[in-house]
Amino acid sequence: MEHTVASLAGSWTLTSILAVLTMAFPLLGFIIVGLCGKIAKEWGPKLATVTIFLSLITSIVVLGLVIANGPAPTVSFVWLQSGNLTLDFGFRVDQLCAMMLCVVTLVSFLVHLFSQDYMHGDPGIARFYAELQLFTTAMLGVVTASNLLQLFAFWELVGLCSYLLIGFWFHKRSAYQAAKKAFFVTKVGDMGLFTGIVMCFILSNPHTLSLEALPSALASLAPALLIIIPLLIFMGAMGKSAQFPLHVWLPNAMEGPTPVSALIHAATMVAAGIYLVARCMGLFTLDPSGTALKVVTYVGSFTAIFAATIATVQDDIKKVLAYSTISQLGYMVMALGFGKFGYTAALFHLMTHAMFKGLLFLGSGSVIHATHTQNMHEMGGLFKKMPITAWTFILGSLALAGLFPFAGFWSKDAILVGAEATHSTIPLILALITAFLTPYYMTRCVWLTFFGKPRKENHAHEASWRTTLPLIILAVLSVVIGFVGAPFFGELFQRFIFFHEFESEAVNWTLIFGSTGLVLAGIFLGLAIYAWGWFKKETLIRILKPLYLFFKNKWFVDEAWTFIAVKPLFYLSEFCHWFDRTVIDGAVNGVAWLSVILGNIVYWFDAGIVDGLVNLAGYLTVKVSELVKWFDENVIDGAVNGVAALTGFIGSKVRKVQTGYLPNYATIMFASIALVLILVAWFAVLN
Amino acid sequence: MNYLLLILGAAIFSFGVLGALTLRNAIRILMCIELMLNGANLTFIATASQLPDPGLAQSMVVFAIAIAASETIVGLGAIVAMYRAKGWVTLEQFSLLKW
Amino acid sequence: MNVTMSQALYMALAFPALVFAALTVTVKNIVHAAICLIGCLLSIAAIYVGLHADFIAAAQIAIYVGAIAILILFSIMFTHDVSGKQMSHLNRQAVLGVFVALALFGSISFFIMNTSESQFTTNFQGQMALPPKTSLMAVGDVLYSENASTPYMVPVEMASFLLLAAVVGGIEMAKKKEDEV
Repeated sequence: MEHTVASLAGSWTLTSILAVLTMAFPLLGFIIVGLCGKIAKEWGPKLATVTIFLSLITSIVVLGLVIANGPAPTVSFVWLQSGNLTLDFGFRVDQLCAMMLCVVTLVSFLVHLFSQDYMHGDPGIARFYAELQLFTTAMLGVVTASNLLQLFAFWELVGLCSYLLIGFWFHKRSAYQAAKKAFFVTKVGDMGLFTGIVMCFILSNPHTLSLEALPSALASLAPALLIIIPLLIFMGAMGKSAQFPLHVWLPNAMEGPTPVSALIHAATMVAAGIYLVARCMGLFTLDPSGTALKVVTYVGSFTAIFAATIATVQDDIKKVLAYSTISQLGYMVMALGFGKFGYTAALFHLMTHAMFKGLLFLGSGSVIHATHTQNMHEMGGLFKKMPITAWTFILGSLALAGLFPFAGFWSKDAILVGAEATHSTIPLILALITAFLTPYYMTRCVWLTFFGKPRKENHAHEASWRTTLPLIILAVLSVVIGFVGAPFFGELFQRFIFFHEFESEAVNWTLIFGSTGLVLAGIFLGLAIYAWGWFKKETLIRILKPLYLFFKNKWFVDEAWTFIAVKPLFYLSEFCHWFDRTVIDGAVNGVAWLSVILGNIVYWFDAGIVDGLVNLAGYLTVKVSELVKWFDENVIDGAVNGVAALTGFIGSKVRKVQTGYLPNYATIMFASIALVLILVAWFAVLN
Repeated sequence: MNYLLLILGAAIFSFGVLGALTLRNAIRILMCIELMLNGANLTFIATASQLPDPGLAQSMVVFAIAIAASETIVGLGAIVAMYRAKGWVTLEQFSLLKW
Repeated sequence: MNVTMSQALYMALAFPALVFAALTVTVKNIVHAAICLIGCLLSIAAIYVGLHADFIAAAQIAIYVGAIAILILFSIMFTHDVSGKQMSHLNRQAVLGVFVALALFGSISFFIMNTSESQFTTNFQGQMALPPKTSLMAVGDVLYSENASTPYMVPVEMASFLLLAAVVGGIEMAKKKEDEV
């Protein structure tokens, strides 16, 4: 114990202390607001916002310190020790962690601010803020964790908060069902992750779960295991980051309040999967054949295009953004699959995506708050009424579309460069198609929401500064944050976060111009269909009917899940029911039927033969008893009545003891025990 | 020095008796019975710790816990059934034992 | 009487157990009573650990706190009296109950105090220095040993059967009958 305390004290640095403080503020807020419950309706939200603001400040300081001094040494102490199992609880503050701290606290702070108006008057507002605080704590825990099990614990806590917040309006059937779905689907991935962690621990030599020590401890394993372990860990990321086929929960998760969608299901929690894979990149690259990374790339690139196609036909503004999130996460996962060529790009995209997707969700929240509908076909013409929301939303969309020089352009370009560098042709083609689809559906979304004629009466207007300030901050960031990773500005981001060593990328003009062309084409197509009406939408739908239906039904993935997993279980239980009804009940009925037959036989015997004998005996008895009766009535009754009267008299007195009052019985029982004890004490001990 | 624990066991047992005799809610009486069982178990363990091999006494406690669990299940089942039938769980209102 | 280290420890553990037991019986609110019961059970588990009965302590926490107390809490919620009418939590003969409980406590303590301490320890003084078996091994030796002197195999099986029967019976009693849906 002594040496752990010493090692703990020895390695504390200002950076680590501040990182722990960053976690401590929201935890404190969660405890206070969560415990005060209904009392905290007025001041709870304000307090929560203040704690997050403090964390934001400390996390920025941490980032500054890490930029200046490099990563802080990992601080850890022994968490539990049993046999040869030693688990540490530690904080690892390096560049990746510092970046994530800033992203999480920034988005969380803006969402806290935004929700002041959005959730105003909701009876559960204190619970809402307490859960947001807990979520922020857990997410910060995930990014600072120094070993896999600690990471997993916070990972599950994040999942729990996601469940609670999706089902925040739990009186709505769709909301709690969405919450359950999210929980179960991500649990499928978490099973894989946990199996992976256990395998890591068992197979590593020496046994360890430390993120720093694992790659070297696992290096000498058989190649097959080196493929399986990363893929199991990747399963967890697939669940959390909504990769095909475990993406089904994310669109439903939009049942939660919109600020929650912005914070959890767009900017931070879904990025936890990306973070996990990035943290374990050392394990993924152990496999000499690169199979694990290939799987990651293909899953990611397929998810990217798959979700983008679905996003083009959604009517609900939040669903469009949800599928766009899945698609962008697919982009990041794909980039991670490029190993060291995509590592930086994926995290760069994670950061820029957090900014503009948080902005888009908050903007959609502002729109929904003003119009009370989520269907884009019922909006329109909001540009005049809500200029700030509209402008920021358009900036966010351009950033997401990846138009030069917005943030999305730089990070997307970095990913494409990674694909090119690893000669991954198929992912590159899929990514380019996605790069074309993204501006198309965002143009459609913006146009339907803000332009054209109002398709439905509404009295939309801009909300207070608490709503618009986060939008403006995020819009500014969405425009400028890309420059930190731009090749023309010294590749600051790439120099800060890299895998093993920093390598400067040559500027690939073909890709830059190609992708910009695709973006412009996508915007042009969107405008052509929705703004200028060059093509009739109905005609297009008629021509492309099979494709339209395929996308509209989300590639039938939900149906496939029903067919593969839900239906068989259902049939099995049906079969068991049938078996029970037919076979077991049949056997029981057969036995009953036999009993009835047997009973009939016995009855005949009884009625015919036995009764005859009994009747004869009865006749004789009657005669005798008539004689006895005379004697009885006259002689014996007199005596008996006397005794009965006496008994009745005594009984009426004694029955009062039987009060029927249970405590009485118990008291008498225990009193008797006490009496016996006292008597024994008196006679046996004292004398 | 062990008699401190024996006294504690006796005290907990007596608190259980006190509750069982004075309270009216059936669930609370069940809770008090748990207290009494715990007092007895504590006495068992405290005495056993003085023996060279505490296994036998501890095994008895294992049985006692198993029986306590059964008793609680049945008791609570009965209370829930009582609640369904009558709408209250106040034990003293049950006077079926009365003549 | 010298207060040794372990004695002080026992007192420190005994105090919450006693207070929680008292609160379980005396507080008005039934949910608070259940929570106090959990506190009391946990304190007793701590005492078990102090007495090297770690298996029993674990069982105490798992079964009493984890199962029984939670079951009690569920039943409280299930049978909560929603009529809202206020009535005393004590019954009609509460005063009598206090006297009986006091008498019981007094007489039991009398026996404990009159059993001289030496009666516990002297018999086994020589063997006290033996390294104690772990609690789990001690219990396992008694319950499952093939040694004929401790024939507890059958009782263990019967206890498990009793539990099964109690579970089935509990469900049968508590479930909604088909005719009263």
